Amino acid sequence: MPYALCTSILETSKDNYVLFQAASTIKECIIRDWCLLQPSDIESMLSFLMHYVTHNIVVQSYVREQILQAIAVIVKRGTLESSTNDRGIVFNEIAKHITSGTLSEQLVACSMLSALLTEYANTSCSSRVGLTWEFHHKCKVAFEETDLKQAFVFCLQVLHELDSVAMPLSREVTAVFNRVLSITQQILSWEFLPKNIPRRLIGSFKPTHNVAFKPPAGWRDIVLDHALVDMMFRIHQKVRLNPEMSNHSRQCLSQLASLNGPIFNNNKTRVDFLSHYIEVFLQLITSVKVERHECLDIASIVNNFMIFFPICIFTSLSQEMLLSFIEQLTKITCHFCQEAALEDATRQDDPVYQEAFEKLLDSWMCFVLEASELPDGCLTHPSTEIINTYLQCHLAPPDGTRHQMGTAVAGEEEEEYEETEEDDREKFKDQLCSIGAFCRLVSQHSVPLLSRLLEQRVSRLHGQLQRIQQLAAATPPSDSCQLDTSVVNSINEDLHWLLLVSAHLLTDDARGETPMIPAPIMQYSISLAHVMDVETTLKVLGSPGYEAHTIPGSDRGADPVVRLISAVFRLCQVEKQHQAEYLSPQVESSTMWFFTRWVPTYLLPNESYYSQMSLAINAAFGHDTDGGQWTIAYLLDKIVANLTIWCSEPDVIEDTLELLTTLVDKKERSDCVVKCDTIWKLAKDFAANGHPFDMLSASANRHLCKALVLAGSASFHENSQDNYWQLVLKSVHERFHRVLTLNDLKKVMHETQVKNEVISLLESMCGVTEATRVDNVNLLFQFLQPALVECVNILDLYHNYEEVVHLVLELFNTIANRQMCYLGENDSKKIYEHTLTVIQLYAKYNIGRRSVSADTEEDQFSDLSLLMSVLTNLLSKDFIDFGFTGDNSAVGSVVVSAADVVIYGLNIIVPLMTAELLKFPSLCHSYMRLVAYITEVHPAKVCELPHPLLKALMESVEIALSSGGTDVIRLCLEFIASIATHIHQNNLAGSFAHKSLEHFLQLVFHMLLLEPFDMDLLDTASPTLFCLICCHQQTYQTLVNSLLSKQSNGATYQRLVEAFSALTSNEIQLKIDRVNKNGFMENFDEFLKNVRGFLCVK
Amino acid sequence: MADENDFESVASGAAETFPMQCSALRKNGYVVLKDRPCKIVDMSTSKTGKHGHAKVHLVGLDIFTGKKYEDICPSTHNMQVPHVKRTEYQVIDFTTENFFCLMDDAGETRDDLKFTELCTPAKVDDVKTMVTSAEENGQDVVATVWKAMGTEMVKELRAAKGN
Repeated sequence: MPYALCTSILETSKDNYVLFQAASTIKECIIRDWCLLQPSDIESMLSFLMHYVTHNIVVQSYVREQILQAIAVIVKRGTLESSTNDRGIVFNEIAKHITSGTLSEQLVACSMLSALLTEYANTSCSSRVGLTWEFHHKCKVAFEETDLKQAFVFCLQVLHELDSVAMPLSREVTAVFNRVLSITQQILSWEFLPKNIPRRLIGSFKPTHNVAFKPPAGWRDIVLDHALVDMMFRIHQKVRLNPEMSNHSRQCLSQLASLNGPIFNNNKTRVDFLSHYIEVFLQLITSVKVERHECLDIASIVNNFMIFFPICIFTSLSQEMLLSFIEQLTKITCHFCQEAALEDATRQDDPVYQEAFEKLLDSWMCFVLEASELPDGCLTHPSTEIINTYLQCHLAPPDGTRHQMGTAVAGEEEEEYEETEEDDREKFKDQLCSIGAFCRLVSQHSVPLLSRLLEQRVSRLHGQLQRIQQLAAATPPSDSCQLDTSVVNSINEDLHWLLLVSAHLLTDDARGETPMIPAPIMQYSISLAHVMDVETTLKVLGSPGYEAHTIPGSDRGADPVVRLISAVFRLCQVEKQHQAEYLSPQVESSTMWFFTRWVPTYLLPNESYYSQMSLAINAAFGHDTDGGQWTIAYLLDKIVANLTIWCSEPDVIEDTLELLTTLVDKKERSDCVVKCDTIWKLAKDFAANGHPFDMLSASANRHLCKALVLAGSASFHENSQDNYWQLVLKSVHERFHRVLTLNDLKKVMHETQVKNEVISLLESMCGVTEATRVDNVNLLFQFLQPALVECVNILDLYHNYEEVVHLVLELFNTIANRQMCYLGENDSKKIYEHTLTVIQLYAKYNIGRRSVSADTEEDQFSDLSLLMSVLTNLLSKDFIDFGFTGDNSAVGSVVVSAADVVIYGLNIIVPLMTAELLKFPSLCHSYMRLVAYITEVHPAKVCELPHPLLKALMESVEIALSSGGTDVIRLCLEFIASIATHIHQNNLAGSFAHKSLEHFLQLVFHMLLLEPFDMDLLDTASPTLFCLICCHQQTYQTLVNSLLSKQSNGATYQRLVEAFSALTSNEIQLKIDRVNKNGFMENFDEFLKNVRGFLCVK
Repeated sequence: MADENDFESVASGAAETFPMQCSALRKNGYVVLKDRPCKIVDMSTSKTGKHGHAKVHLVGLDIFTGKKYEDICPSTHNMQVPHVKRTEYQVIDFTTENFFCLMDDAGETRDDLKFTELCTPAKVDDVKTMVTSAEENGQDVVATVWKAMGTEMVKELRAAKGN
């Protein structure tokens, strides 16, 4: 044994690296030889090391840390042994140093504590000692029960001493201070595990982030003592300007603010703690200027209050304190808001104020949501302040301060914006949402304010644009002097932000929910009903060409909510009057986005959703009102105008089409839409494939086509519906027919014009298909079906043009995705047949193809993805089927099923799925999804695949299982379970498929018992293991025996034997059915809790 | 476009390119960059200033040389798009000077197209093997010839059942 050698090296060598290695060797050997060593040997080694570190203060810190780690590991290793009291010895030693009053000794004590904490915390930072998770866990619990509090007391002792040291601090004091603060932080962030540990944590050494401070009741005397909070704040005051120390002290404060759990035995103690904390906290933030590095933790403290102390605790504070807390919170929120705006203007790389500001807003929302619990009106002033500040920060002078702050950066206007850059509406989504909530608390302030600000800017924009246009007209075109756009840009930026805020005031982000007019807005409008005049309100809305204030009576008689909305219509009106080259695409996008949010909420609202409806809102936007019809017509005109004016701005077009789709996706609205001439004009342009369709991108064309089809679900006048479909659907057929009947098609098909026409038609058909809904599926299928036959011909003709090939595949994919689930048996059969032909053709032209193009691989990659997607979608028919299955006319003819198509497809795809391709996560996922689906539905067909193909399939699954992510592994497990179930239930033992499973049993067995394993997968993995055991009981026995034989420890051996026998106890029969599977799952859950703790080793 | 006659009128003597607004170009489509016919492999937009107008950044690969070209232009501009035509021929033989002997549907032959990287001398045997084994299986070797802006090149070979 190397101990004598190592100790002598430590005593004599001067080389730090050698010392380090000696310490490492001691650590590793003691762990290795633990059972062979006498307790007295270990104890003497420990005291040698202790003595060494305390007496060799000059060694390099990395050597000292290594020795301390060795000490900590020895102590931890002996934790569960009654014969040793190493921990006691070490703690006595620490106590001695702590109380010594000597800084250097205290530093050593701190290092020891820190090493112990790291080892006992059982995270990835703890040393590997080759012992089970259970061992680590028991040590941690023992440490928590007897020593952790003591460690905390040590820290407080030192802090207390340092608290009284006068400023400025010497270098030595700073070192100790820093160290002890870091340890205090470590303890305050300690993860106290609950008695019943959640399954996911068993066997895991991963640290949990953001642990709240939840000490046991026994800590009450220290933690609830006001002196603790007082001291921590005092210390923070002392060190806050030192970045490193302040970092620890802030974290400590923030952790203390998250105090929760058994430490509080009643609400009184909570109120008492919070009250005291807030008192000291307010003293801090009112007495100092918050530094940049502090802001985030200040916000975290507030956030922790809100998370860990329910509103009833706040309302139990003295009213005076609560109000003063709210007042100060308002102040720092406004302060952070200004700083955040400055950060944004200067494009700070690390926008901490932004983050802190959002955290504060988030905290506020707890109050805003429970406003009724708080004293009446106590949020009115804060809301107004925060809204005003927020608007000021985003508006130009004189109303705001934006440019004054922004001038710090020269050339801001010239900056390049990439498309990857997130739009403000996404980037600031959360804060805008909070600001919207504040606005609603004070609608009587915010609604008129926003109207006024918007109206002013709209008329200024109008004036500016006229000036610019006059100037441009006066300048000869040859004279390319640049127009100064800074004024207009500034107005545009204001408008952009006002639109963002107004949208969040007026509407909720209602994805997945029924959009409703927010109650405060409705209430506000109703509350003013007695002074409102509907006539005037409608005049304000209906004359966007005039400034609102010029309309008689508008200031008193117009509903303020309608007026705010009409301000956006006025903006549209100004945009209509000017050339796009002088307008801002950004503002146009924001306008369209505003309406996309607004339309589902306000336009033709469902009155039955509301207990009370505002007369003014209803007159302006309600069902069967002139206002509603006018609004729809106005928006539609705007949309169609945009398609031409803005065709070169992809973002504007996308937002415009999103608005169009929103307008037509509800029948009530599309009923009004088809009454407008504009939509008919658009349909005619579409039929003629004329402007603006020729200028739009492919995706925009598709989107537009989808919207046109959706509009067709409206109720039409008499036979005008036929006319509409003639334009939107039949015209496509006619164009298609015209191409296919061209003279000498085989020759002219190569002409670009013909090819582009084909591409445009395929795009249109994709768009039509995307519009599929249950109410139009029959119509659309009747339209598409004959065209699909032609598409097969197109594929044959254009097999050399990958852009066409790709579109044909895409069309089939869209159909399989959007229509399959609604189709009846006969129609489905047609789709299966067409798809089969498409796959055959694709295979014919692509197998054995050799190309010089560098991008062929990418093309094939995307084709392959699409093909798999088509097949998966076809199969989903077996899961989701709303189709009509009554027609049996297919009897007698050869029936092609989805499974046949997929199996045929697998023939082509499996050989192409190389290990290289499986490395692409998306491709691997689509592949496994397809394979798992088909096997679940048709296991027999998969098991009967020709051997080489089945072998290749199994190999690809193995690769996916070992290298894929969670989702892929889940699919692999499902695949294995399906195969195993099929084999077991049909007695296919001895078949090729059966033999291939044996290997998977080994893999899954190891994965579950011995390797780090994502416990989220357990619900899939455990039945899979069961199915595999049923198929290969012999192999399972062998695996169990081999695992048992590796257990050297008698007790664990016995536990494992018992666990295994409980796992497959008599109640479980090796029969794959629901009862036994569930029984096994339950047993296995227990089994893992029992054994993973000692099988997983670190 | 709606008029049927349009299709035939472009057949001969037509321009090699046609104009298209930048925003209507599509990824995987074609465009002329630096006077070369290119396939668009990447398209992104950017703008100068938050309220500026879109510019399109195009990255294309020369369809004959694979060389990469880039361009950036306002999205309202027109770009030239090349007509790219693909024709299939049956491979009959090779000449000693590394030219293909090709035959079209009508039985017309030509031998003016040189080997491309696909069948450089180093790989001639490969291609020859491909032809022989195709013959044994009763198949032909089909060559796909791409033509754009006055250049023609064999871009692909595959074995196929004779038509």
